[in-house]
Amino acid sequence: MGKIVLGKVAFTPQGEFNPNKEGGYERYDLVYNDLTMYCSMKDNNTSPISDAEAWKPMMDIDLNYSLIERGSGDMSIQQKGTGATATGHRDVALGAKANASGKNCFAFGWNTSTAGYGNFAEGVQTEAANVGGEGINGGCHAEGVQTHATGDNGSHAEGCRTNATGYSSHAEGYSNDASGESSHVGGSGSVASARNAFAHGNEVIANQPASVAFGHFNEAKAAKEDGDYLLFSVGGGRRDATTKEVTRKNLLEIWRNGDIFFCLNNTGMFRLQDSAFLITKLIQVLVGKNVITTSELEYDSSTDDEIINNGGNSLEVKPYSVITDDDITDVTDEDKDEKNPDPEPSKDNPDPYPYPYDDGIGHLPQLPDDGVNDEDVETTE
Amino acid sequence: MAETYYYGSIGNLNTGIEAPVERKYTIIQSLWTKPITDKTRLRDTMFIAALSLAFAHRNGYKVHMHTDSKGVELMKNFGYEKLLPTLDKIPDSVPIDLFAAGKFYALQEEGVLGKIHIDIDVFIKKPYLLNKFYEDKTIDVIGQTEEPYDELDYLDHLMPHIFTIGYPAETRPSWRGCINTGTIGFNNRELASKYMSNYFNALKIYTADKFAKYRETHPNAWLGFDFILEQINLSYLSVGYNVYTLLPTKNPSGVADEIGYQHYQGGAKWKEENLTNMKRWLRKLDSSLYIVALAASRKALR
Repeated sequence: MGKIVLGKVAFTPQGEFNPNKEGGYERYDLVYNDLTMYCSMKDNNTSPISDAEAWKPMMDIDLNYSLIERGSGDMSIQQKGTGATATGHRDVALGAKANASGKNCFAFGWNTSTAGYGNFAEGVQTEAANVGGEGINGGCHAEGVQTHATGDNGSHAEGCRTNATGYSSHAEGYSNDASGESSHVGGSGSVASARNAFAHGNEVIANQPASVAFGHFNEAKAAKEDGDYLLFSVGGGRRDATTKEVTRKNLLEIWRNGDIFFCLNNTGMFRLQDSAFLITKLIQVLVGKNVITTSELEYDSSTDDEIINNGGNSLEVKPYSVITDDDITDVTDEDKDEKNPDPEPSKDNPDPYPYPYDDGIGHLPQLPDDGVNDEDVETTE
Repeated sequence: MAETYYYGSIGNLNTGIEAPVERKYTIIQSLWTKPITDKTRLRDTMFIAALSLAFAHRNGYKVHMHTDSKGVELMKNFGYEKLLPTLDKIPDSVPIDLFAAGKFYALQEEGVLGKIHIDIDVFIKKPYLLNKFYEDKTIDVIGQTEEPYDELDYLDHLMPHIFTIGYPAETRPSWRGCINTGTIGFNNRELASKYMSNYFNALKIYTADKFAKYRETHPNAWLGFDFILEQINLSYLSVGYNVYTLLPTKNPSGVADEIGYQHYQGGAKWKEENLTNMKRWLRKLDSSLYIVALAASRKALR
């Protein structure tokens, strides 16, 4: 019985095809090139990958037979036949009308879109698109339905109709807006529009730096322009069923302005008021500072601290998802005439807003006539 | 090694301007043609943009121009180091009233940081005028001038909506000034991010549809909005940052002449006698560019 020399029988993965590999490839070396794996059919194989005699395709990932295809962007892929588009660098778009632009972005779901750098959008009509591009920040994440994570540096929106537009902001729940830097919002119809603000509840607002708002129709707002930050506010306002007007009542506010102020504003909450002394002492223990109740403050007319009792403020800030055209057009003629004449342009007054530097800043010295007229100069296309 | 550029027919002009210098840094310009519905304005814009380019080139700057397809077609022979149709990306939802949008899209395209955008009616008339910004990274932002502006009270109620970052919603700052952004550039990542975010977030709120309604009752609203979004936005956000303004609030025009800066802002640049003078300067600086701009201006009228 004779011997048969089989030679090399094992496949040897060699990574990406290198046309300049020293000595060439051995028989049964496996390489990949442009999404296709090839097997070397001979030793000392220095043939180009297109040489069908020297290289046999082993696993042809032919995108014609795939659910995905290359996008128009460099090294991007998109789902075929769904209207998905991957137009940026290394983007992925999967799902009907998913649109991934920018760089290293991922859009997944119906009508989702990404832009910017390293962003991720999933769900329905979601958008993750920080505006700064690669040179600024990226990493936005939007998931759910009609969510928008467009703030820089890792803004995150989830739920339904939430917007995380602030720097490193987080929005969750329904129809919420975290627009402050490093703000956080949850619940429904709430806004965290200040830096490091936290709002959670039903149409509550935290619009002062480092403020916290809970409850219904509550607003953590500073009453003193130069005061320190409000730390904590729990609200119990209401919305009139007929007029739809919102009244904001703060059941509990804790302020910091040198000392800690503890305020109870709703006279209807007897039980809570009765507990004020106990709660006050508790906070004293917790924070180690003087704690004063609102009622004490109101007796002291020598200070301006009574303005701390600011319950019942009306809502002025809304998430842009609920802004209506009325918000744009609600400047009345009365307001206009009173504060700013807002004149119309006319023949006699074509520029009703003369700018302080209407002749420009700096001067272009007058040059003498050089005898050239535009009409005399011939130009070509 | 950077290349030194000399062009054509300038020679010794005896105009007091110095010889061309090596182009070290890049400045950005933008021209969004969509809001320029008047063809004669577009025609004249060609000469102004060309003169701005000629001054920038001569005084040490490469220029990247971001415009739209129409602008590319008009200015393709101007000689910009880059001429890009970036502003084609501006969606139809952006109202043309906010004509400064082109500046923001251009800055965004360039990565915002480390480059200066100058308006096309800004002339850099002395070498390396802006180099301090490029070479001193402790400068967070460069602007043109801090200016008072007190006529926006009627838009006060809109500001909390417009400014989603950095605006004290309940407390109106005592200083209501703005920073003129004829020249603007950022070295500070955080500040740039906030500034750009505020602008682009506002574009989502104040769409063309809403603006069309607003325009019916407030035909000059664009002025206030542009001031808020572009200039007051910057003045509010930049409090506490290292702000480098080229010109002082008092006597900015006089200082501008001293340092070799000019911003032909306002309506004066459209006056016939001023345009005529600008064309003379263009012919002095770069006669071949004048020919190119003239051809573009004729094309703009078609």
